[in-house]
Amino acid sequence: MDEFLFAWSLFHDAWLVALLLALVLPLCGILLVLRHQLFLSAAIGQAATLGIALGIWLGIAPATAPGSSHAESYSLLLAMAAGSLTAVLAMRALSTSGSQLEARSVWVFLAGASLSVLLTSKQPHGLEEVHRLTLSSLLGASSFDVWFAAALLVVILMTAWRRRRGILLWAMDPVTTQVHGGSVVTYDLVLGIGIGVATGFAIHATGLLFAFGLTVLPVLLARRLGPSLRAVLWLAPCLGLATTAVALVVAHLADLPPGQVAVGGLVLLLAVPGVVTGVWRLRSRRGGA
Amino acid sequence: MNAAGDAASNRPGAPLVAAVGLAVGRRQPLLRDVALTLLPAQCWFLLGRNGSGKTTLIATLLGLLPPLGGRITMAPGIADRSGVGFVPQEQRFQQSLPVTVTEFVCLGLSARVAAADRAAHAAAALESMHIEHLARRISGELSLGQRRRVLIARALARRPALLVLDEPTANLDPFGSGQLGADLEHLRADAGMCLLHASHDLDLARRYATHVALVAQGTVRTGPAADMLADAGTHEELGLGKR
Repeated sequence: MDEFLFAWSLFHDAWLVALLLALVLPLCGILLVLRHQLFLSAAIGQAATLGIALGIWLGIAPATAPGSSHAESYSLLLAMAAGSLTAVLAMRALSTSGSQLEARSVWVFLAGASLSVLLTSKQPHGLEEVHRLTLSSLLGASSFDVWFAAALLVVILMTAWRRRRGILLWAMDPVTTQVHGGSVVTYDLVLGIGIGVATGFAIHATGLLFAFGLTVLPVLLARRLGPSLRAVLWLAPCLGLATTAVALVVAHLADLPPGQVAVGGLVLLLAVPGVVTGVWRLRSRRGGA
Repeated sequence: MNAAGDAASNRPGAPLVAAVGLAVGRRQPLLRDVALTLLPAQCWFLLGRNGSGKTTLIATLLGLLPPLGGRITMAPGIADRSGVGFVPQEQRFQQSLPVTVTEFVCLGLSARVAAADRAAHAAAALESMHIEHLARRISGELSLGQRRRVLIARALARRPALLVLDEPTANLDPFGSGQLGADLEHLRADAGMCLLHASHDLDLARRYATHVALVAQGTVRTGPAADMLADAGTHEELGLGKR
């Protein structure tokens, strides 16, 4: 543990960003799960990656000037813009046509994955950056990222607290929201941008695997454990935070990649109830026989 | 329960919605020259074949679609939507998270309801649909009939003056359909709520409708239920053959 505390002084920015995102991402994930769009999170993340790759291709992102704060800012802005555009378009499509977006999400995911590599394939640093984003790493955050993540968390919590019933009704039933006098377009825009900014920032700071995993898995786990929607709203970010905190310690002590440990831990936790139930049923059957 | 109470703040007996010479549609008029006046304590059945324009007409009457012609006048509580309750078709709800019945009903509450009164509004809505015993159950795990009642309770939590129901009895057995119709009739008779059903349920219309609007052939014929349902033309236009 002493070693971990010593490492804290070296990696505290990256770890703080991961912990803050572990609270932010499940809150976005709740909306996506309520709209039956689990995979959309991966599509938005891949679109954000494409935004960064586009920046590299255009010569304004880190590959052309590694370590430059301007380049980092452009990279972040492009990731958030691409993520927001994808999320807003998806939210509008869901509200207007009620269509399931599974096929389109897969298309965006695959288009983003292939194009981001193709755009940067002639630039060694660019390709390396795209691989880093895809494979996930929690080691590259700055103090600006910490403040940005903290501000994002505060804004999302305040919005969620003040508008929770309107947001939940919009997520479950946009037509009734409109009948009640709510502006579905405004909800689509504001919440789409919120989801896009959070995902784009998460991609920039932690990579695709952590961003997708922490958006979806804590919500699915909370769904199994929580007896009500209110419980899920609290449980999901708490589970994300707790798992990430444990994962950071384990990953550091065992010298493992922290993003993968966090996501792997959540995947295991999600599988445990199913395995326990299966074993229990098997034993009951054998006992009965 | 004062279901048609505070939210609407309409003059007693004044029309909730009055449409004159209305043309409705998304780009091209689907229905023309629609004249319809919804008064408190009326029970309207909007009858018509699939694709005849019932949903488009409702969307226009609720202000969700702009009219392509004519004029709609709404009481203040309807115009600002605080006095409108809406019951969508139940099939669209496949809940992906465990939402309790109380939580679901509370989503219907108007933002104007004080925090201290929310629980009472939700409880009264559950009581009026006789589902108070389901308050803590997960709404997605209920039977079809129970889920339908939960949807109606969510609309009633707003204490609406006008309750719009889209196929409320679809896929219910005759007993469940009859019971739901009777409970809605109590709301109309006791609380003075105006009900607007979009429905294919002619039996229910015969029992509870005070007025019928027949949507067919690009226009809407309206009148008292007894006259409309006795008219052979109505049956023909609904595709039920001559009487």
